[in-house]
Amino acid sequence: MTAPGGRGGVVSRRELLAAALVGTGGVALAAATETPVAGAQDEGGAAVIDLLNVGILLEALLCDAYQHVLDRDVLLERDRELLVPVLAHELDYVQALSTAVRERGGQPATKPSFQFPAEESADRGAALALLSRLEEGVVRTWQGQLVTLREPELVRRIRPMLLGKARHAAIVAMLQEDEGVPFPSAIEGMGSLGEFLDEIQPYRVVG
Amino acid sequence: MKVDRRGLLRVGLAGALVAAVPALAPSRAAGQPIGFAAPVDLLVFALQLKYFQAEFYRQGNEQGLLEGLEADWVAQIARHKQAQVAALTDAINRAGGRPPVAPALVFGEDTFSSRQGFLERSILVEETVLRSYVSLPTAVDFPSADVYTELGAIFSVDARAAALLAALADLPVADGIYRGGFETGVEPPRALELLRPYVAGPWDIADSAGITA
Repeated sequence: MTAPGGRGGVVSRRELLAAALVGTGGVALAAATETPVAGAQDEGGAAVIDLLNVGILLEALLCDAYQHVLDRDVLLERDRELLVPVLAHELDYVQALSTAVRERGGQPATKPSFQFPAEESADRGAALALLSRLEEGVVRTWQGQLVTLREPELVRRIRPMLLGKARHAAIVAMLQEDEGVPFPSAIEGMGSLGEFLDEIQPYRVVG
Repeated sequence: MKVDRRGLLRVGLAGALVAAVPALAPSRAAGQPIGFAAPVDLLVFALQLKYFQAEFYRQGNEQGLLEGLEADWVAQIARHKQAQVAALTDAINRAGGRPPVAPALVFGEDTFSSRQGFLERSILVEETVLRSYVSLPTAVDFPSADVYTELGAIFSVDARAAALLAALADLPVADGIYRGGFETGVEPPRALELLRPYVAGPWDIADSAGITA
């Protein structure tokens, strides 16, 4: 999907990376990895659609990560009680974001697939550390990207989801006990989309 | 006024909030119903809630009801509430607004009489504050979405606290630790009404909203 009104111009390595990750060819999305997307009115709609498609990418990553860890025989019963619902929530987020894209006349990104090396979930500690790292990265990335939004209705609709995600991040950290950090800061950090895309690129299944 | 992401990271939350307030609108006049006429009003409302939380944890942690890692975590929650109060106060001042006076709070003997009581009351506080944020209006003097985004970065930490405290209190996973993935809201006046019984004496924004204990 090339978002209507998407940005043209030179496509950088990062732009190509982002486009490949999402599989939509959304150049406006790709540009968002380097610069805030909001601003010009004629690009606003495309920027919002692209942001939502980035969200689909992020939540798909977490879906696959939780599924991967839950499929391994490394968790305690209490871990599973707390993490199975999170996977269900992540699937709900993908669905909700896809609906929001359609409502704006866009094409939802095809849910990408991710795989994780066995050594990153070899035991309970490693598995929880993987989930925590990804969950925190997604929370920070969402916060960073929301700065670009100028659409009040979308802010209203997205914030209940982001608060739900914050709960997930805290619970995963709690399960890590001494190794976990449920409250990284007094004010949620804002992360770079580009840097996080680079971080998760090794997990992306191409093809 | 636009605030880019790098700018936000550079100047920090308080600066970003100030930059996001497009006009140095006066705070709501005494007696005027709660209405969020200007972005700075949202900051004032948020500060009222943060005053409440900060004082709640200050009093609660003094009782020494918690031990070990959970004591460490709740102490961290308390420090974060204080930091949020400072950030919001600074933001309001820099926007030319007038930070409200912190209310005197009395939580009652049963609130801090046991570990479980403390945890359960803390969940009530967190959930009430969190849900009032969800219901904050988003149509105040846009384009100032930055205010909502930045408030979101604060209240997201409340969501973390709500979940962790619920887990420590052994609440049900569904509709206790989690709320179905998507938070639901409570209208700000209702949130103030829920918190009002613990306020001893006048409470600026709640009283002007016509809320009584």
